[in-house]
Amino acid sequence: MEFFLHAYYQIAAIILFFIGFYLLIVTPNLIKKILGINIMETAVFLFLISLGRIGGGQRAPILHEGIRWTECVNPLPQHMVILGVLMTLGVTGFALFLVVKIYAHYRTLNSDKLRRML
Amino acid sequence: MEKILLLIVIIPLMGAIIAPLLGQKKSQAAFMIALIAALLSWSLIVFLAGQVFSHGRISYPLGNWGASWGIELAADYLTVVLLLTVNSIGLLITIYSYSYIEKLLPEAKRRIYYYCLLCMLLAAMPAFLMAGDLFTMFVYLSLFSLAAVALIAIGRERQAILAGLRYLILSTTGGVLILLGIALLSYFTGTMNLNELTKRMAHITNVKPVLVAISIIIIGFGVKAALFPLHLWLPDAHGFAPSPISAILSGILIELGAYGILRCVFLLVQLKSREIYPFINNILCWMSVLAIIYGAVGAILQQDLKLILAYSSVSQIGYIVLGIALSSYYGLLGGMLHIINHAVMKSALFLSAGALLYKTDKRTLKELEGVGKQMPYSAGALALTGIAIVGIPPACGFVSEWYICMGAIQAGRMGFAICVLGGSFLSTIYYLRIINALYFKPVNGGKDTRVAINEAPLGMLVPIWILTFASLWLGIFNRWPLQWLEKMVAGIL
Amino acid sequence: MVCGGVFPLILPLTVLVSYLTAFLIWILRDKPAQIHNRAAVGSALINLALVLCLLPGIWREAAFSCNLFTFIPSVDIAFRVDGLGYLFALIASFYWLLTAIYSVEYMRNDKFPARYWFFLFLCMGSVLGIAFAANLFTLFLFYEILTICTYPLIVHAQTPQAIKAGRKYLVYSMAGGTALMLSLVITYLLCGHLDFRPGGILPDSASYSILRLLFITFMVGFGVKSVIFPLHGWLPDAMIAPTPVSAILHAVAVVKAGVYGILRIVIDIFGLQLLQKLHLNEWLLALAGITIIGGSLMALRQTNLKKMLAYSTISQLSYIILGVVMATPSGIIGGILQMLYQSVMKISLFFCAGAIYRQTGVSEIADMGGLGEKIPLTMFAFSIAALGTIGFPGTAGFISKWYLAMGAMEAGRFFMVGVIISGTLLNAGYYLPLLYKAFFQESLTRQKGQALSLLMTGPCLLTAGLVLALGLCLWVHKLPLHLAQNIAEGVLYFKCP
Repeated sequence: MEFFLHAYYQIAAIILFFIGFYLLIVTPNLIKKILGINIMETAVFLFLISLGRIGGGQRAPILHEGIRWTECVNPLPQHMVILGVLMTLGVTGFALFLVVKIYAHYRTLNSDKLRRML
Repeated sequence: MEKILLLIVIIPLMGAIIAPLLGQKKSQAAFMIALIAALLSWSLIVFLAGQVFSHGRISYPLGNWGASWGIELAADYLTVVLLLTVNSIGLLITIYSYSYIEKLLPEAKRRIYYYCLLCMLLAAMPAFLMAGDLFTMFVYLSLFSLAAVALIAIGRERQAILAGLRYLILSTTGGVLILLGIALLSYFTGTMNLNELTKRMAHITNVKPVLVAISIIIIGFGVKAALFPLHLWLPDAHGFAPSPISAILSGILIELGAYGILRCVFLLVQLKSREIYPFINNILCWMSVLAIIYGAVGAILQQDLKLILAYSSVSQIGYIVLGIALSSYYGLLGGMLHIINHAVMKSALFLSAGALLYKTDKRTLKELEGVGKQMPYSAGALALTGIAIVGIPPACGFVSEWYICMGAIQAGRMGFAICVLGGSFLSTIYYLRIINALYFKPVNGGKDTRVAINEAPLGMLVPIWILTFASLWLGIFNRWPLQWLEKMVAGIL
Repeated sequence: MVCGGVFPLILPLTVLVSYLTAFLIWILRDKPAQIHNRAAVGSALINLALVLCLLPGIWREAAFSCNLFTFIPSVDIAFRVDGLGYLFALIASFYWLLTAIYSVEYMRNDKFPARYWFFLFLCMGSVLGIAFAANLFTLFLFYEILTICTYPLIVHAQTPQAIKAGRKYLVYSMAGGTALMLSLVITYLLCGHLDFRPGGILPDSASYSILRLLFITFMVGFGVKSVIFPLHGWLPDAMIAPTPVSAILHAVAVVKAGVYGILRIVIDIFGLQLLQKLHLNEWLLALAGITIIGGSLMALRQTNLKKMLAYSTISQLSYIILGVVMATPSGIIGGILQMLYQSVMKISLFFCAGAIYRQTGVSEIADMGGLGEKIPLTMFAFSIAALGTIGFPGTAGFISKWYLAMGAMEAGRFFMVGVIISGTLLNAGYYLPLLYKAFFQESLTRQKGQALSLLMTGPCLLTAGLVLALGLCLWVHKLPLHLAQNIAEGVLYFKCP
């Protein structure tokens, strides 16, 4: 119980990850698949952010006298998350563009049907 | 001096920015910019290679952060040898693209996009190889994949878009897995820098989570490398992409994935004596053996020339990963060497298959019967490089196969050595089908009609033949790449 | 004794001459056929002259060696020639000249002459490379090139049957090639190098089961080309190739390359002593015996002349292995002589078969009635060669079989004497009815045989004459016998020149 209370970020991340994975694998709808990927990525970002809390502190990592490193947040995961969010944005945008194109051509978004047409 | 590392990445990136700014009509200028960017970064790499070969590893921390914190670009022997191979191929593909794209994309606007994306690939490629930490690797591999998806989908064929989206979904999933693995790894070890990780591996107390993290990263890279059960995107993407892009996918992209796996295995090797290491290693070995067999059988069953080559890539990537996963001295050597060799020969094969497609608009072996007479130079390159794929000495495929085989026996896995050789035997069969179709099937129902020679333009033939000769040269003078790789492997083990 | 000076350079030069001629002909592919023919015959002459230059040195039991470059650590691409290799190179380049002359006429109206010459010369260069190889790796390299370059010659006619035969050949050979590569890797890991040394290089400290496995993979590797019993299936089908190709490749070059490989393995990689210690010589003898009898029995059933000759080749080749593995002086001499004489008789038979086809259009045995009357010269040559193959006294075949039988006696293997004798009887069983039919039966058609150019009859008669000369004149016989004796001494007493 103790563990679950402390690791609620991580547990939420894992649950989210599997929701996303489920969507990706199970649904035939392309847009839902893209959504699934987005959820998975969000889960990973959440997990990354949670890594930033080293000593439980929540201050910005600007060190001056009287502040110990345990009081600060690790800034590295955050910069990674920002980069990651940008990447995801690009990928999602482009994927949606392709989906629009596919819909215009095939008039369906069902990936099973599309595979048969390929 | 160290700033060269940065310049190699920035120059093509600038090209990618400038190319579309020139205007909607000037595709010639866009081509020139891509060419100049590729040439400049290639010559910088040649210079860098000279420096690294004489002075050893060169690294450049971006923004002066300490090595274990910030982003670091670094070039060691392996990186430089791969950079030279991959960028030379990139340069040749850029030259090749000019004529091919002229025909494929009639609108100037699209051609400009093409060159812009090509520049992006040329920037992401060396950046990925030179990245000193896992996160930078992830970022540039994602950039590379994104540009590659756009290039797959750029063609006129409708299926290309579908193949592109399929690749996008799978590779993004792979990317997410890589990111997850990196996050876990940095949580348990406190760093993402490869050098730092290698050092810390020896002192890890809690091995299992670290191994799980590395395995997740390997699965992620496995998607990019199209390792057997994760290869689903590969055949369609290769088949429907424009041929120069197929060459990039097969000759560069999956090699980059394999390079990622290689870097992870370098970390794994440090844990060799720990408990669940053999389990993970075995899984990797079996995946690659299945890849070898599955890919070869798949290639035998295909009718479309480019699909045969695509399935052959699935098989060849199995060789690479098997060599790496065996993690014996010769195995690692063979795996690394095969990354280079496969890059050269597969891009040569796809480019020559592209030349056939360009001139005849025919894809299947049945349609291509007798084309050997019509296009002696392109088909000749295909036949000659095919020998390398089959693994006939002295072509380059043989050398890496030899080392992987030795590695398997050295690791005490005779069965894997037999699988490797079995794969090369199967590859004879699909090679034979191609050769028969091109040269030996009776044309026009056996009537002897003289076929007029109708060759591809010189701008396509020159890159093809440079790569074909390179595949022979790398086989005969295999000591050149090997002497550097040997130093690398000796340092790792 | 290893000779220095310019002589060692002859080794790579002979290989290079053939390869360069191939590319020269490819460059001149659009020029008229006469130019190709001149280049081909000229290059064959140069080859023979270069090989003959080495004869004085070899006669004095010298060896020549020439290292080119390192391919894999402690494995070079290197050439070295000793008695055995020289003998192989000599017969290959001599018959090569005859085949080149013969082909000029035979391939006159061919559709793709340039392609024919191109791959034939590549094959020839590879065969010389095999003969001159200083280590197993160089041998393997040229062996694989030979495999690939033979394929276009077999499918030369481009008919569906030819492509099928070619596929069969390539599948068999590549399976052999992969087995060979596996054995090379194991040998390299066991010994650290792949050089040929009389007496063998494999350490007998290695586990016997590994050594036995290694021997099996080696036999699968070389057994395909030397058509040992279960691996012989491709040869009869490959007879669909043009006759000169069948002659040079399937009677002399390709199959001899396989046998030569086996001899090298037995003598220089394993060594006869290790072989005896592992009891592998018994296996090999049994295999050779089965192939001798089985090949002959299959030849009895054939109706097509060239296919019958193919099965006869399968049977005759195993005598060579039989002789050498018996490891007695006469046995080895007999094996070496058989290697030499079998090829002269077989090439003569193939030349004649091609000539018969050209003159009368006959390729089935059933149609051969009355041929002795129609084309007396060709049939005369054919009968001499056939009698030689049987081992008729006064022909070359008698001498080699005599030595083989003596060798079997010396080794105390009387069963093998029985095999040799019954093989001879079976040979007689399929050649004599054929000769009877040709000379004493009436022809079915009244059609007369066409006149034939000297370019085709010449090689037929020359080789037939050689069969007689080697059997009758002692001084002609002296050269091969001397070389064979040198080789036998080297093999038995590990004398390294």
